[in-house]
Amino acid sequence: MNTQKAQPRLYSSKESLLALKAHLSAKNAKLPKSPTIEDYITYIKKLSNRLKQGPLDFWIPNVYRRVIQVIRLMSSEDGFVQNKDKEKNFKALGLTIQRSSSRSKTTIETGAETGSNAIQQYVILPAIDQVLEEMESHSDDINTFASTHFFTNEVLLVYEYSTTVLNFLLSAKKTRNFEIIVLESETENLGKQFATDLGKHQLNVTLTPFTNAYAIMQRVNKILLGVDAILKNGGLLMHPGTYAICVLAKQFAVPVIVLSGAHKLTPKYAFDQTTFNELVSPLKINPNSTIEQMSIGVFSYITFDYVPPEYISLYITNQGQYTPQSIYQLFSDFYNVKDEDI
Amino acid sequence: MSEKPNQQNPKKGEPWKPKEKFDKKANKEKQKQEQEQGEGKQETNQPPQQQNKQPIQQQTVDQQPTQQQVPTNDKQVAQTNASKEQNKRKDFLSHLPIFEDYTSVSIKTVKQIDPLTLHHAFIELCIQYQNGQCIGSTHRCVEFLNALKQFIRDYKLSRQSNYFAMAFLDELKKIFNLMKNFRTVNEGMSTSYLFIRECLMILRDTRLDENESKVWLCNQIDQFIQSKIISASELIVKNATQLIQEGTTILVYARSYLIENFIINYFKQGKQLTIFVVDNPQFGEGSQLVNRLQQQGIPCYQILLSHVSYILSKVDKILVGASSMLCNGALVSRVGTALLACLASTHKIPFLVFCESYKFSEKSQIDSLSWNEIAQLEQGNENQQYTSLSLRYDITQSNYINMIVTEVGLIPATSVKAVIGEFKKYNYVDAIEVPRKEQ
Repeated sequence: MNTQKAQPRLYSSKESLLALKAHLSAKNAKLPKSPTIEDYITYIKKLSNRLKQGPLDFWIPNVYRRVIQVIRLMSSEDGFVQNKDKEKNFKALGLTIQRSSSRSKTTIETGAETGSNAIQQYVILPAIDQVLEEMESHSDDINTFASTHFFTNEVLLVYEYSTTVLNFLLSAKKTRNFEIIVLESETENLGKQFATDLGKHQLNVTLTPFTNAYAIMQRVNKILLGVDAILKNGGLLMHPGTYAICVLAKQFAVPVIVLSGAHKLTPKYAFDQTTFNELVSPLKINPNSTIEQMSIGVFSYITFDYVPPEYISLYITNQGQYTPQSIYQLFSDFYNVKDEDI
Repeated sequence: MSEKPNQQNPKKGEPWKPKEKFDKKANKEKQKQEQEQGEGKQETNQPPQQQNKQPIQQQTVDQQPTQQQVPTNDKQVAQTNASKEQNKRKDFLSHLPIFEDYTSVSIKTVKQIDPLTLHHAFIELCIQYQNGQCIGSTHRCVEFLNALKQFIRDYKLSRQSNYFAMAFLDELKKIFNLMKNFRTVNEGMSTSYLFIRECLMILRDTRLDENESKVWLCNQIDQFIQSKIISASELIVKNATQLIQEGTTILVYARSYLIENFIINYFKQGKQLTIFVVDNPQFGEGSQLVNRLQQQGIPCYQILLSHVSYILSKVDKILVGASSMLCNGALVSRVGTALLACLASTHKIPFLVFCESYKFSEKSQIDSLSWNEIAQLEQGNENQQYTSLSLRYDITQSNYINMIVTEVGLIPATSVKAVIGEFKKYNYVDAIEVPRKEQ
């Protein structure tokens, strides 16, 4: 499976970052003659609006928000890069306080001795590179938590294709023995593909149609899900059908664990199924549907399912593990409040 | 200092060997040997399973090991090999029956001994059960009774005697057991079987002629179908029409004979409903229902089970058909119904079940995995590294069901036991009219 089909959100985020780089290095970039950090930030915001593929495209604005946040951090601390490790940050905070008191005039904002290109060179491009690196390695960071949540001979439930979950399971396999049940939705062949990919690595996999979810739920110990977007209240936008699974899981008291990279954090709020949703043609999802099938009043297919945060037990992101009550903290570290209107 | 008997004192000159439990190499080899023995045992377990199935089919042949029967019938070889693989079920579902795929030719070869053992009507019926042409509890029951009527007409007593009733009782038992090889017998069929047995008991005491007995029996079967299925459906539709006001939005899952009749009747009265039909592509029942309604000119929307969460806020009532209702109030229905019931209870949407009274059962089940039927409607390829699982039935608990619409009234799920108790007074169905000799 090529990357685009497997991780469409990650792919589009990465592509947009590379596009940003290309735009900045282009000769006719619409930047003022000696751009400041603020100019760059407005430029990036405008570019995000242009590249966005519709009101339901969260991933391009997310990644641009992250770039802007890193730029702010890098420029305010004079080239000091924000570490992912929180403990280091506390020490570093002490250092920056000392540093900013000693160094006053040689920051890049006054930039007398450095040219305008230096900003681009020393702040913007490293920021973009850092975000790219975060995204590339998000799976590795998530996998550090792989064996901490499983016991031996557990039965796990997964739904449709998710590369993050696939990598997580493969790394957990090294230390734990478990059994996997894959639920497949009725539309595409993603479920079958996931089962095949897992089976290639000698995992014990069972493939079940979505209708059997209630019957097998009593056998399941934990559910692992991949998301499309994590909202600021802890709610999730996921593949259609996940809401039903989460409701069942609550009935059976099965913990639901959500795995995602931090590029899916979206600082928006939703309330019900219709806030962020799109009705698409059945042909888009099931290219085998015939014209007769379409003309007899098939209701359109929906794009997302909104799952309220009460149904989730744990979020595992590459920035750490969070509960629904505390995931808002990640947003304030990851993004800046000023950028939430992109 | 006394020596402990367990201690091995190394004799002089011999190298010291570690004790057994610390010898890692020897342990690994032991484990390998045990695994191989275990696999060997599994293989030897499967021929006995095959032997257990065959005595049902071949009653006059002595029990022979499967290897001896291999050269006699090539098709049987292919079958036993395929069924060995199909019988290799996973651990937690190894108790569920898996039905082998028969074709009409293979049935006759397997049951080669006595072609009269299984009438051709039943063979056709079983094949229809298998390839999905005849699914749905009411449909299966009616077809079974029709095949039985045909069998009665063709049945001839081996000698002229008045003991038609007793001989036929044996035949009926044989047929019923043979049918269990193709698909599980649903509750409606069981009730009709008990009804016919009661008729035969009555017949035994009356001394009717063979032809007259046959005629009377066929009439009784017709009456059963008429009163328990057709009239019941009319009463249920009438009861349900009172419940559902015009203009409500209803959600229907898969295809039920009763619900289809209800909707068609409702529209014939000139009232309007908004209908969402939830489809399960595995059995295709939802699309069948939509086609049928479209033919009648009734507009409806088709939606998938995973997308149901979107429209649940717009739905007023959920209607569902039943395969049977259990004594503890649980509903046995098409797989996926329990999921819908759980969502309905979360969103506080009334969940109504349509069920005739002949489908009430005295069994009790609490979960869907202890008793079920594995549906194998798709051919998986041999190389797939995963096992696929698809069930046919689903058990919905009584606390999810708001009301059952039956011909005896609108009852809550917990009253099923009381209704069964009432029927028991009349041998599960209405009182049977005793035949009199016509002269």
